[in-house]
Amino acid sequence: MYSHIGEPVDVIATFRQDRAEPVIFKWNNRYYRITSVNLVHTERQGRNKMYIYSVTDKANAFRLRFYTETLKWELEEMAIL
Amino acid sequence: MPITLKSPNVGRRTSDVRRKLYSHIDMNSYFASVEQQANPQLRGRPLGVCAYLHKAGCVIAASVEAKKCGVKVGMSMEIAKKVCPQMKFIQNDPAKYRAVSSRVFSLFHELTDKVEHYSIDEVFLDLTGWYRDEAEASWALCRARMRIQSEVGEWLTCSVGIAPSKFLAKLASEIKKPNGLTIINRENLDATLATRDLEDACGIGKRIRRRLNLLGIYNLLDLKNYPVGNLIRALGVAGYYWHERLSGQEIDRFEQSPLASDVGRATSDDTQNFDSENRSSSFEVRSSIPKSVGHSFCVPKRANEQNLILPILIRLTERAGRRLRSFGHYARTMTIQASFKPPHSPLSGGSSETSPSLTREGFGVGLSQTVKFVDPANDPFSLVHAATQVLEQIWQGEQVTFLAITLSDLVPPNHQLQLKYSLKSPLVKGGYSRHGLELGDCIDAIRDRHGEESIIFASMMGLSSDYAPDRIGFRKTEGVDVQVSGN
Repeated sequence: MYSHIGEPVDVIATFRQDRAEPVIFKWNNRYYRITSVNLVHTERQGRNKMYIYSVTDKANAFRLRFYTETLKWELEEMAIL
Repeated sequence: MPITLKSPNVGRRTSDVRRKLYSHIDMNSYFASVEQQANPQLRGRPLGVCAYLHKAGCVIAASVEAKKCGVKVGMSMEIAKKVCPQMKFIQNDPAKYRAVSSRVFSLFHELTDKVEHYSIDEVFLDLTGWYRDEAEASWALCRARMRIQSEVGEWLTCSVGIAPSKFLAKLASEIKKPNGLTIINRENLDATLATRDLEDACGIGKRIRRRLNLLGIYNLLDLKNYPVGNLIRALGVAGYYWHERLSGQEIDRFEQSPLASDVGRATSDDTQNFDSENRSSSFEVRSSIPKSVGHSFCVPKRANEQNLILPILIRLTERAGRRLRSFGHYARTMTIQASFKPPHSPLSGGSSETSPSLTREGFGVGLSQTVKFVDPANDPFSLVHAATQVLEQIWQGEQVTFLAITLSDLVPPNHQLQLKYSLKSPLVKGGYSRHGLELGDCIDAIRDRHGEESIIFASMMGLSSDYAPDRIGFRKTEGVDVQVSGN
């Protein structure tokens, strides 16, 4: 199913109306264009709030984690469709 | 013989003050639907969400497709795999479900000022005064359902029931699944009840059904029309309640949920699993104060090999204690349950020799021991100290397969400071020692700021997060915080 990655990634995100969503991310020198943001939810670790984006490109499903305190993105998990 | 009853709590005019309008919304196959929403690969396939990915781990939620194959909630993974070989299993993700519930419940808070978060995937709305009739309420609820699919996730569906009482609304929501909408009113009440089995009513199980069958009652209409006096003689006061509920009278208290949860700390994401009720319990008046707070964990073999039993128990105690403190309550009683891999030597029953307040009972291959605090306690040191002492008494080094802690007999603080005195048995020590309370507050403040594991007991050092992780409970809505735009 999902395999844990846990690596930092570069992300291009958009801010539309009341939401912010990743559009493209770069991992292992390869660009992944996100075709669908399926679910967005939040988690907390103390006061640190994190947004978790469950997204898909044409071939895979990913979980991207955005740390609001450090403004960093992380590719948390990946599943091959 | 049917008796004449006063008319159900349904009026035809908006000015009728007796008229009540309730709705019950039940998210369909909730955990599985959320997982299918997050990963399109899982959609349209039989999916089971499990507490543990182990052959003995049970399926806590099955997708609609899995239910069609015959998989039922509560089956072990091993059995579910036999029933549906193509089934996929995934471990639960409590934070995800709470976050999605928060967003879904927020939408319902825009429909009315009275919303009861009945469970992680169920909500009651008191629509009285907000909508003129069932048709208008249906329109609003259908719009809310469309908003769930457009704003939260298109794979999330819910069943809606509208009725003049909470009980009938819940009954209505279970008639059409998934994604159904059912209205029960005065016109169709008898016709609807005639088609429902006794066990369809929340609170009637096999035992009560057998008793009712002996009275010649075979469906809910029979129960409604049965003479109430005879029913009271047969079932006691519960018979009267059943009669009133089925007649459309609202007798169940509406527990209004706050907009932002003030139960539990706002920064805590691991509040769940209050054991005050279980999912199959009867449809009764709920109290905002839980009867008990508990945590449990099925201990794997490798944890025994690595000698991690004590750290796991401390983590369970810390989780339970943290939630107890979030309620501002104290526990008078602590129960530790442990199961051991057979064969083992069952310990004898009776009271422990160490303290007259201790009781001990064996059950199956497990043991349960209860300790009563002289003074109610909730600080981490008293709880952990007592828990470890109890474990030392019931555990002789066997392989532990299950550990659970329950804090019960909860009481609010009386703010009575204690005189300094010493007890012979430190096990039963507790109470409002200023030192312990202040230190406990400091520890909680650090955890609020930096996370739950930012400050821990030394014996928990290096304990993997896989052991005694966060858990989700169906009937528990702590951690579900809703926000309504404009507030």
